Amino acid sequence: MRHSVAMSAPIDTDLRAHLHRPDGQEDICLATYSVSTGRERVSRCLTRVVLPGPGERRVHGNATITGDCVLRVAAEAAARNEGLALLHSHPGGRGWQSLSGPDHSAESSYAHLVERVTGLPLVGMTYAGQDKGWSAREWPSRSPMWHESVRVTGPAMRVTWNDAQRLPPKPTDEQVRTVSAWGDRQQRDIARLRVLVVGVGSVGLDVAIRLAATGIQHVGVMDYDIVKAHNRDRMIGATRRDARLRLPKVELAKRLMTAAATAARPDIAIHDLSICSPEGLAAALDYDVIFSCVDRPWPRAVLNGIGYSDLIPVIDGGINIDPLTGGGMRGASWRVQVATPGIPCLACSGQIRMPSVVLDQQGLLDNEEYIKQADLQMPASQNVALLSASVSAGQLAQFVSLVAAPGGRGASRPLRYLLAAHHQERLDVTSQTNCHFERRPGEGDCRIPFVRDAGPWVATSAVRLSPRDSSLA
Amino acid sequence: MIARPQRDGVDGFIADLADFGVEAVVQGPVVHYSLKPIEGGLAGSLVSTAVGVAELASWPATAPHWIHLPPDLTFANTYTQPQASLPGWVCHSRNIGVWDAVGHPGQKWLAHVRAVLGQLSQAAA
Repeated sequence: MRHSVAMSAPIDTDLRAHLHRPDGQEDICLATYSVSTGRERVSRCLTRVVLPGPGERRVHGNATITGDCVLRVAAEAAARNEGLALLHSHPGGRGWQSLSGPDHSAESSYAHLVERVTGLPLVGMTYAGQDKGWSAREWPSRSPMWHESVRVTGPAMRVTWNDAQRLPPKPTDEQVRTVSAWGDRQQRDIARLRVLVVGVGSVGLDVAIRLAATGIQHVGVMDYDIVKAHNRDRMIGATRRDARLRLPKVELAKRLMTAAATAARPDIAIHDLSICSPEGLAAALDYDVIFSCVDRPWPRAVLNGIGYSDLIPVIDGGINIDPLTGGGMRGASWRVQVATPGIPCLACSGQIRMPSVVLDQQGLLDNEEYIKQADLQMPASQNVALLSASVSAGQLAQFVSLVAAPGGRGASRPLRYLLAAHHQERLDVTSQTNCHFERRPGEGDCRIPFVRDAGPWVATSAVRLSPRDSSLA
Repeated sequence: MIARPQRDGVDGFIADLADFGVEAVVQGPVVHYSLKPIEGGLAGSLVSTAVGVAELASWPATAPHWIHLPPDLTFANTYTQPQASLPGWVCHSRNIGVWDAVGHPGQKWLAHVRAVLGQLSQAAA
């Protein structure tokens, strides 16, 4: 199992305001965390900064905190079913920090006490003042277990890597032009991100191939569907044989991504799962960034939640084509948006209608009798390869803004392009007052429970397992 | 891990209705409560209704779709589906047009159900 710490940009700002002292001395404070449990990674998501009160800490070049303060905050954390992190600063430090003797001694002396009160291991963290880097470890025993990374999520994402646990991949000769766009160091950090694409239809397949071509080492694809003949006008690279063989879309994606990959050792993971299933959710929680290339409200709601509860930025894209009844197009629009703290969520921006999530969960959006009775429209299925590339382009541009922050600016608020008017606009939406997704960033496993044990993926799996028509093969 | 103390799920739904003086209780697979419609044929009389416990998992992020009613109450137009409910009760599909994160969820839910109950008619004995 891998371990990492995640925090939202506002938590990072609050911590730095306390730990980065103008007098150059070290400082110390506490934070509480929730747990986000993936299949292969556990993230400790910081939820609240707790500054020591008067007399609870001493700053003397180094910094120390009283046992009473640690005990008090551990008890508060336990009451919220959360764990405790102890954080201190190295004002002259840069990047991932090792643990000095006194720091080791201080953290190990509190580790047992904290675990006994909260039931969760003490997390120790160090802030490096020279480059705003973070490092983390936890104390399941007398020795620290080092984390792989610390990610700060917001419109501009910052990840500090533990090089000992995740080696920076060396750029290859094939990536010369890519590296020239943002430099060697940024390439090494971007290439280390684990990126998941959920839904590998027309948009997701394009996104996944381009991520592999960029040199990102570990790209995962998740889809439980199979290639069908009617997908071929949008899934560029899918053959008639793929459709005849009912090839899982993730296997097609892996084939095309492998061909396009430029990393020295590409690691392409396929997840033949639905994000709405417990297994799909757990797999997704292993990633650092997720592309939402789904077109249904239920999976979109799950992904929207992950963006805030698990502090994994989700880059969503969607297209709507409006045909005229008698033929021709009235128009089309597509929009892209990042679901992450600091940007209104997909429900607040109107990209998800929550009543539709319930209908989708219950299979009613595919129930013709219900649709007719309720005077609704069947879910739109219009799509064109000529336009879907615009959606993937928009999502990929948001990805670059998120991880490379060109000009120091991160991802934008939702963007919408109106085809008929040739107009791109930034939607100035605001978060709803009680937004259920945004109100508890970093709640991890206490997230809104949208996943279900059963859904449409069960029927698709049954079709896939049925004997294939040999005359078609 | 146990959920943090929040007014979510079934307990949150019951607490949200209690904020407006409506007592709701879990009865097997449903949460049962009674309301007085303010218009329609049953205006002013107390009507028993319920929602499925399973539909409250994501409350208040999502609101239930199905309104559970005793068999003698029905709508002029309705779509029903068999679901886990009280013995003999019928589950009616009723769309909720808007469900956002503005305002009190209990108040919004009660307004929706009162409007729905206003469309009820009593089946002939």
